[in-house]
Amino acid sequence: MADSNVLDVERLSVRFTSPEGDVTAVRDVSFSLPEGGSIALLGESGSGKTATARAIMGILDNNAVTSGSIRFRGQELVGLDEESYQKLRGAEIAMVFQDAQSALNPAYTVGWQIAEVFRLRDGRRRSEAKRLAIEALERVGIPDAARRARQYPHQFSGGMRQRVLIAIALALRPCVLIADEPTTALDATIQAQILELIREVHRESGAALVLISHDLGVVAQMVQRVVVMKDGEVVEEGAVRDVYLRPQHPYTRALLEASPSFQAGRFVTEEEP
Amino acid sequence: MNDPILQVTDLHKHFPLPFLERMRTGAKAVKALDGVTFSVARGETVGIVGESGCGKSTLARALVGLDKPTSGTIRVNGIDVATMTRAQRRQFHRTVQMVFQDPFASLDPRMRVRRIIGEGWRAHPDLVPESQRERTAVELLESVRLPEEALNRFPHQFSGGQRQRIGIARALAVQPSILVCDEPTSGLDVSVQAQVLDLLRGLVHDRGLTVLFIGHDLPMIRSIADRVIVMYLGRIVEVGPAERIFAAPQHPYTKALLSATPDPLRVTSGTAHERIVLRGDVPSPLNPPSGCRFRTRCWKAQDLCAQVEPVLADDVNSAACHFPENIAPGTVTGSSVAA
Repeated sequence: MADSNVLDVERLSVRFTSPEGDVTAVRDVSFSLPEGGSIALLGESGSGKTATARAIMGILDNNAVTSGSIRFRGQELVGLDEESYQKLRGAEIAMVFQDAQSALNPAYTVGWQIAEVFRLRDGRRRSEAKRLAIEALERVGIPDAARRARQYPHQFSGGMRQRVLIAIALALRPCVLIADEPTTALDATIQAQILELIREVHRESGAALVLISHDLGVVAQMVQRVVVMKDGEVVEEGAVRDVYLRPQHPYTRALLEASPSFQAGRFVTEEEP
Repeated sequence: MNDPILQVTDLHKHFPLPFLERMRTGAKAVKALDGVTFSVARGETVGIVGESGCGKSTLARALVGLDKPTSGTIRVNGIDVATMTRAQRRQFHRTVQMVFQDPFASLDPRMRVRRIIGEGWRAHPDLVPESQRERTAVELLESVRLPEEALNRFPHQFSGGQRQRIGIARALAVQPSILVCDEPTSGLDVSVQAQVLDLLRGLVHDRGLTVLFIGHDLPMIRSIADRVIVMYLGRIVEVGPAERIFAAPQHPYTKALLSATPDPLRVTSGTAHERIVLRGDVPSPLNPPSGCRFRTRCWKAQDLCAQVEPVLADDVNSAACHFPENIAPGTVTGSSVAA
């Protein structure tokens, strides 16, 4: 069974040390993700979902102590040396960050930032990398890609910037794509576009998807399984359908009831026979 | 509409561009509001939805008198705000109170809660006699479910949800009749949002307040509003009773907006609205498209849409669209009449 999983997280804990005392952000979190599958980490701010994702990516700050186990295709990632991790990052496991504004370098053109991935990681030559960057932009639905590649991030709208981040994450064809609240800063209709794009690349590239979100509706649209987190712990895990329709944990129930669409939804179901 | 407490007629707010921007873009001004007309009945809760740049915050600021509209009128209790006397204006500012979007920026960090809540009484001393103020402040805090001790604390000692409740208490202190809430829960966690909304709903009901609730989250608007106004690029594209808007949206934009904020339970049970993904970005309000402003992203757009701007048939229940959805046969909608 373990062979068919691209990611196995077992009893993962993340503790941040500080002079004022330690904070355990993630406690005994376990879940697994089959090849090409999709899972969401759902929770409110401070629930440990981003810390979990960063632990998988190996990009936690220096004051973080990680324990437990994260296996990528059987390879243990907890305690992995930085050199091996760098080979993995981007190429095998890639991340789409929350804030596209700060994830892109304002001083370089968008094309340059995508081409950089191909040059440094794929050993491509400059001209070739440039061509690949334009292709990558086209793949994420940016019109007039050749011209757009020469522009700077500030010339892109929020949705377009998020597309660029997705292009960068997909550049090396990773088999796990972690999307950390990829649409929180975006308007509803733009959010729908970006989610559609992520759904598309997930389906077409076959990369497994880890979606981090606080939005129950988004989670329901995007993934098969959901891990509900609270205060760094998993309170419930299962198929989205089961968890939403028959929540076992009081916190999950409270989350569902707190979502205004649930309140409205309940109103509708009362109307309809 | 019987007994409208608020009437907004053909409201425009244009922000002139600096010289270089005018040269670069060929536009004179950003038309944040471009002909907005609606009225609100006493005791009604109206939700105003739209995405960033649609003018909803500009509208809120104009309504409370923070910004002067370029043209058009706002009448409160039948009196035009622009021509109010000094005394009337004082009353207007008391009558219309605002709950701001960012509870971290809208409370003075150097004031204790006592002073934050009591500040309005300095401008309106007759409202609450000096001797009663302490007690009234405590009552206000209780009404937003904060303990008496909160009076002596500073804003930074509270969480986001608590601060927003302080903001609500401050707004209520001067006994307003209209409350303008500009995305009061957008920075809060889901469960905290629900608490603040619940609280607001209760207060509105108990005090018979008229509320304009501005937001971008349709499901949330639905849980609080009687009537909904949908805005796009400075104009109202659809208006109607909340239930009708959510059950049978007429404007394609409303439909897309609804499908973009899916109901989790409906998605899982497979009864959600069909998923509509619009193409492209929201056009710049500097150069809105000709005709219907939504046509560049609309899947139903035809030649007519580029030529003739559709208008609302009335300001109570209609959509500004040439080809509206969900129209029962025989229903009159002025907007669907081809020009």
